[in-house]
Amino acid sequence: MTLLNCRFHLVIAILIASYATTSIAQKWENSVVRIFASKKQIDESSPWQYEEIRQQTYHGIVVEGNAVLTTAFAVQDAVQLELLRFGENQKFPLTVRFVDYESNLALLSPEDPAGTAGLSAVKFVDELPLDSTVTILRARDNNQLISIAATLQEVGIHSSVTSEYSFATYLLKTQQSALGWSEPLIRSGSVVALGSGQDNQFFHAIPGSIINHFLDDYKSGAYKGFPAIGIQLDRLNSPEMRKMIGAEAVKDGIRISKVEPGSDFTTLLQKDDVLLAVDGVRINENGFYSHPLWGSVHLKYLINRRFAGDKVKLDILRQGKGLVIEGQLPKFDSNAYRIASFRVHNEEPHVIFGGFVFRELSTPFLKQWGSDWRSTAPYPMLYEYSFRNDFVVDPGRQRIIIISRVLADEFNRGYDIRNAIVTAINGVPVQSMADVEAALKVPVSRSGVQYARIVLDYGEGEVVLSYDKLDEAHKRIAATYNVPRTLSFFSK
Amino acid sequence: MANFVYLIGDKEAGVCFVVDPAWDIPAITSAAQEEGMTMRIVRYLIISICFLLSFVSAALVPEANAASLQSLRSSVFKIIVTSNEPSFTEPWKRQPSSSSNGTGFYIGDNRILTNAHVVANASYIDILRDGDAKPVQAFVEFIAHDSDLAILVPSDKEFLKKVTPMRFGSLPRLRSPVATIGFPTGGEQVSITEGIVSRISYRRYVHHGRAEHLLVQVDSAINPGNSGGPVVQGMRVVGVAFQSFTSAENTGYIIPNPVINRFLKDIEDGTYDGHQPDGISTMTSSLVNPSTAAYHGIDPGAPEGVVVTHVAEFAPAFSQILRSDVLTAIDGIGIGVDGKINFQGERVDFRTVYDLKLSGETVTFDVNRDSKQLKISFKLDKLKPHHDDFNVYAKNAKYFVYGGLVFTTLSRSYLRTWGEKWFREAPYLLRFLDIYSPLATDFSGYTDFVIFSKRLPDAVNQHATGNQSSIVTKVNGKDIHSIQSLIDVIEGSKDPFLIIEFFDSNEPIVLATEDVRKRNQMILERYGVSPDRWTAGAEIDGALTVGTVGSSK
Repeated sequence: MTLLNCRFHLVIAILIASYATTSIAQKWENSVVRIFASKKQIDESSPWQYEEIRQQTYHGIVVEGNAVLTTAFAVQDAVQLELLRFGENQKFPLTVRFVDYESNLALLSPEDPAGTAGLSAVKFVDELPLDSTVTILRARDNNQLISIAATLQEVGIHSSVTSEYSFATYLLKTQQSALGWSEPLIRSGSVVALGSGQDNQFFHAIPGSIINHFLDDYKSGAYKGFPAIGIQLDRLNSPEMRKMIGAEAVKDGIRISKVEPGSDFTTLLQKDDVLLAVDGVRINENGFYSHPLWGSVHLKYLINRRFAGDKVKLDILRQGKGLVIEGQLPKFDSNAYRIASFRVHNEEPHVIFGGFVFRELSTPFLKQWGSDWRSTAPYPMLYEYSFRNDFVVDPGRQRIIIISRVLADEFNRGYDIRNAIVTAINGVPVQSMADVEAALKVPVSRSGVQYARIVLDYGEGEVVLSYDKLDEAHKRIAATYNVPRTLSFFSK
Repeated sequence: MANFVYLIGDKEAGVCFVVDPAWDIPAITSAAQEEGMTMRIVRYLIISICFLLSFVSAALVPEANAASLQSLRSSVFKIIVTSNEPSFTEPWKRQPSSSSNGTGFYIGDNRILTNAHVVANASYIDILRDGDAKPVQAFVEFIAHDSDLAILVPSDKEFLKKVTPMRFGSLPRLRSPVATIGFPTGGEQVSITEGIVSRISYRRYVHHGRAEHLLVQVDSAINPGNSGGPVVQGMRVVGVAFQSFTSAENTGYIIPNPVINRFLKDIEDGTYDGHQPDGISTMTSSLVNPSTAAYHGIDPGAPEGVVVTHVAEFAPAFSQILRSDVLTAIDGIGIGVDGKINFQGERVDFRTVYDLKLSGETVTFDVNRDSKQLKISFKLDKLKPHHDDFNVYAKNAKYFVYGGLVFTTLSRSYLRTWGEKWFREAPYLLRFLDIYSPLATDFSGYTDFVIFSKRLPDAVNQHATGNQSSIVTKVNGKDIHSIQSLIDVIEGSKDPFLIIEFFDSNEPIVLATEDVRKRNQMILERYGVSPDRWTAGAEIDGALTVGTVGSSK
């Protein structure tokens, strides 16, 4: 009884909130649209096919140049995107003009210019002061826009669901749940951010400054992208550590604990250097600087605001000696780690050999284990993800190869392998699908018979199969498991 | 055709049993009287018949000899234990004491056999005979945590003088009936539960958490308190009740005689050396594949054996048995493609043979290596030290406290400090190492995984706030592969700083060596840490012991 009462009150409260704010929302119906996405997600267990089509609804906002801005999350895996204006019935097909998974932003445009005709383009306000009250615009099923109140609590450095790139993100408090579908955020008649997700504490939104960076970059005609210095930092609040690395003379600055390969900074910086300033802005011992609106903000935001290829000046203290270092910022690439974090094309490279499905280990693959995959995925894969997922110069050739499953057939009788990491095929270490195909082409020979010998890591053993009757096996497997004959199978 | 009725009696005890009393009760009673039994005994006899009818029909005890229920009952003891486990988060402390009880039985030589888990970390043990009012104190003489067995001796040497030792039978057959005798919670008297042997397999013993041995599954519940009780077939003991399956009703497990016999043989020299994990990982069933069999020189028409996938560095098989070898027989017994052998009439894992050997004995494998057939024999020598990937019942966890930083070592018991769902909630690197440490090349040579488990706050360590539950890899550039090496490096350091590095972080802890040295004693006193270290492992057991201490890894 009590529970029922509670629910009843909650409904009333929401209704009151909605009605009270509908009028504010209404004037935005001329810039905000709904985006209907049909998602075709790769079936992680059978990567030659797709899961059932899912329909999802997002928000978009009209920007300069007859374009609609939304999150990259909205267009990920989409095979069909449509726009619906408020108060109308006709949906307009959309084409994707540009996606940046790193910043989680995408630009679309209607195939028919009528889709956005008469709607007014908005401009984003770069930065919002802390504690500001904002309005979240959200579409209701009756095709009306409503507003929801929220307050900006913090600006954190987070990565989005689509990549590993960490950038400044608004963390807002609101009573409403089930948000995070690219809702525009409004403050005093201007658009300030785009909703990107919600956890049990905060509603996350991409700040206007990041959005403007993306839009300006796109407008320039040659998209440069978001940069990173390519270093790991550790706070420097221990006086003993400070003494040890010769940084007693100063009270601020953060310790560089690792330098990644592939940029100017690889050779310019060293482990145990103290980073004192970025382009003249002092950095404290926790890696933060003083921002006029946001208070203490991590230095990553200073880098977020630059473009890949820009020069940046770093003040460094190395064993007590001051240095000024200048280098070009490299573009951050989530997929330049051994384990790629998103698929650029909605397809999964794989090779089937005698029913063994070879693939590259990727974050989308690991996400099969649900929202707590970081704890529940197979331990060897998590170990690789956490401790061997190095930044690599040639990622396409430095992946982790796995056998995700075996398509059971008389040819592979006796083998029940799942999620095993492959180290070598026919005596050759393999680190890409190209390696797999090449290695399979050179059999090992014993007593005049040609065999494929696949060695697995973490005590999973080895697979030995003869090449005899491989074609027949592939024909049977193709028929039984409905696998396209041309794309998936190994052939000599 | 003649009908036989057997009368089995013990004149001293004044009890007799009737087997198959199908007809003519008066004739049976008169036969009993002829043997000099009184009416009182005859009355008892009739009661016994009723009992025996159900017991005998279920348990088919043709071999039942002079033993009687009375003497059998008097050989079974209730064991009342007060235990005091060490703390694994603050290892210089002990957890609040708790009491529990189990069962044990007399096996002769002033020894009572029970489960190791009944008396693990016992600080005080009482034993009570069924029907007695006064318990007698007992001590642990031997304890085998790997096979969950222990020997107790009473403090009063006269106590067991008149007790008849129980005798051991053989491995029970599948589907044969057994009876478990014990003191399950919920009553004072001895209780007998009947069941049928439903499976004989080679499986994990939960008390140890890692070791696998032969075990027998019965379809009767083994309740708390039953643990350590004899499981009989007729009057012979065929096993010791020891664990049950919480998610399945009416499933109990017993330690069968081959494992008990091995334990009794192991302690003959006064110390318990323990079972030896073979360290050989294998892949079962891949040799049913004709091309895999042909590759290994195995007849695809009659495949046999298993392919070796990994041999742990700590095991005596290391460098004897190699990866990709096919093991086709152990001590001349053929290994099937499923990894099983015929063992006393049952199909069990080939490791059973290895597992039942004593330290110093030899094992012989028939091996196919690169299509050649070899016989490889080696001794089961002592294992090389490796981390405690099991539950620890030592007197204390290994630890060292310095400058307010608490270091301990990884064990299953440490992981359990994350609660019942430790296998989800403990840091996953620790869970990974618990399973994969022999395979993790980043950690080869580690005999302990030293963990920074806690900071006892003081001015000298106020910035050592990160890295909790992380694994120490180096101190001042020197490898830390055991708690002892950590102590040696820290105490021997002449450098101005102690730089403690961790596997899963780029942020070391840096302490000023002199400052810490000066304040160390004061920090220990303030937090009541005494002693400041414990480096002994399983050689000092947590249970109260008498005379020579036997223990196991």
